[in-house]
Amino acid sequence: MTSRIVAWAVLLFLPLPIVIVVLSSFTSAGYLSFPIEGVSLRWYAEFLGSADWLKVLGTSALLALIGALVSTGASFAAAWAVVRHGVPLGGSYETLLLTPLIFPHAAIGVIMIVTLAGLGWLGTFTGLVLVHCILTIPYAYRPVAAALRKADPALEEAAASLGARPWRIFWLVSLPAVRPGLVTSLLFSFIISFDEVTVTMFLVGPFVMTLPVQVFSEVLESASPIIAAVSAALVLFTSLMVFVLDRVIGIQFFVERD
Amino acid sequence: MTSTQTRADPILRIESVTKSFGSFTAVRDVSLEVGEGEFVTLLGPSGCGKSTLLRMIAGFEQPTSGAIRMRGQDISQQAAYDREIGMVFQNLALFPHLNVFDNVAFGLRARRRTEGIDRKVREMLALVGLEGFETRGTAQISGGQRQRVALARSLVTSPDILLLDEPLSALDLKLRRQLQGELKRIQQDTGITFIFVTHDQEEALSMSDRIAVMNAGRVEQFGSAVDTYHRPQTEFVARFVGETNLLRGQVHAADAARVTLRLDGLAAPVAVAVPLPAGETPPGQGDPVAISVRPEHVELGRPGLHTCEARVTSHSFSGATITYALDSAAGPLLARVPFQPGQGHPLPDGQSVSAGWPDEAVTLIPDQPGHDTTDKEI
Repeated sequence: MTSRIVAWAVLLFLPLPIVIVVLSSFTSAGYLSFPIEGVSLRWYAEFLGSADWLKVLGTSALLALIGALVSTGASFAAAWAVVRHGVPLGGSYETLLLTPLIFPHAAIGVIMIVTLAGLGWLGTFTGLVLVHCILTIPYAYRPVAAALRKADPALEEAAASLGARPWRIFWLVSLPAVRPGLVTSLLFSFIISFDEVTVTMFLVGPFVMTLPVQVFSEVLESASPIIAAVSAALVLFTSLMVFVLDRVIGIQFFVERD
Repeated sequence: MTSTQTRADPILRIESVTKSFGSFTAVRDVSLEVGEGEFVTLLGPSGCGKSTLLRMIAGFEQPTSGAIRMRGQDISQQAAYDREIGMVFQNLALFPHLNVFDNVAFGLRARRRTEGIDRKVREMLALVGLEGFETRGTAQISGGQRQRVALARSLVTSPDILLLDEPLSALDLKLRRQLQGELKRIQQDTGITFIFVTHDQEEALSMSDRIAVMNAGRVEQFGSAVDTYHRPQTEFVARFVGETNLLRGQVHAADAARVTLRLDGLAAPVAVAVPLPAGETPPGQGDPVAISVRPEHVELGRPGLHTCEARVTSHSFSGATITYALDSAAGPLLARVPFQPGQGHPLPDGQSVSAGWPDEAVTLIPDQPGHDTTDKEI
């Protein structure tokens, strides 16, 4: 009985901060507070009416889109080599791909400042794309590799015995067989990139800024409820993506072991 | 020997093909010829190399040495998609993202033969009895229906040869028997050469024109179903294809027509005369030999046959026949006799009977005991 109460308490507590943020975004007051004093949509209007906020929203969306495409493509190529061709040390290679997950983000941030400065990409959009690819590859790799492991190699042989040449086999059989994995990879790396703060804040500059980092710096300077509105929009957007993912493929595809 | 007797010009000729994976040799020096329109089965236990041989014919593996010729042309190095050879896979390998129609149409589209594609696919679905299933997904149909889709998909491009890798092994017995009959009918209707792989000897016997029995990477015997069963040339074939009684002995006398021998273990030497196949040189006197006698040829208590005394140890009844396990001085024997009620069967355990067999039922196995059967030529 007690364990049941604890379980419910945890389940209720987990989304509580999100609920508070969303509720406080509807305040009519000029400062961030909870409980709210009056109900209004003025901060949403302010968010969507601000060229600065829309610009960083655009930057984040484009960054996440390019990052998702690149890291999913790279993950597919890597998984193809490891799963299909059994490259030597494939297992170690897979572990290596997952290291950005366990490496401290502060350390990655510092390393990336040095690396990007060396490349002349510090404070540029290109630099952010590179870093976001590194950060999202662990999320992109697993679903693609799992889908490839599940796919029956006999399908490709069957297509060959029916006269299909290698490129047709790839487009007509291999790729459709791993489509759920590819969609999962794309959505997950998009979400991870779109919400990334810790490493990105080391690397932004006067010419490039992302939405979550902008939220963070706003919090440091002021307590404007516009931050709550932006955050609530982010929550809504992310939930929407997860909902789509669940509908299209089923969320357990990502959660289960490969 | 039998490998050169083809009923028509060979469409496929396998010449001394060997396939090694690292230090493991899966197929050793196999030579076979398959005639146009033949139904040939590769029969053997798992790991005997039959699937590897099939995959080399399909083009998924390349022989380590030797050649595979199709109508005289060496295709060993040709890609699978350039060969006019279809294949039905053990797990069927239906495309999960395509419906029944698109699965069957795949080969025509891949070979860009899209003219009349709708008609051809429907004809093929009709041939396998799947009209009306065009828009079904492959997960929405039964195992037997999936089987038919796989068959239709591989036949629609009219391949010169169709390879079938144990396609029925996942089905229950009744469906299996039914599909065996249908496969045979479709093979006869289309006239396509079938090369069928199975480990089920009954399936092989009932469907094939000729059977290649494989063991440890080699073909032990290649001949008609009747010869494979009634004239096994090696101990392995005699034991693997059906049940048999293998008895050992020495040659007592031999001439061009028949061999007489004494069987080990019998106190009074029993001479068993074996008709010698035409053209075979008789073995020398005293040579060790083995004979195979099928259980259904062993008769109990019938005078006038070469007999030995035996004792019933157990029996099993299977409807039309009853099979006795016997203990004799020549070793354990199996006897399968027709069962008719009121004729004294089943005999009680411990009952003494005389067991015998007619000369014609005896097959002389040239292999000596202890002889390495894997070293035999086909």
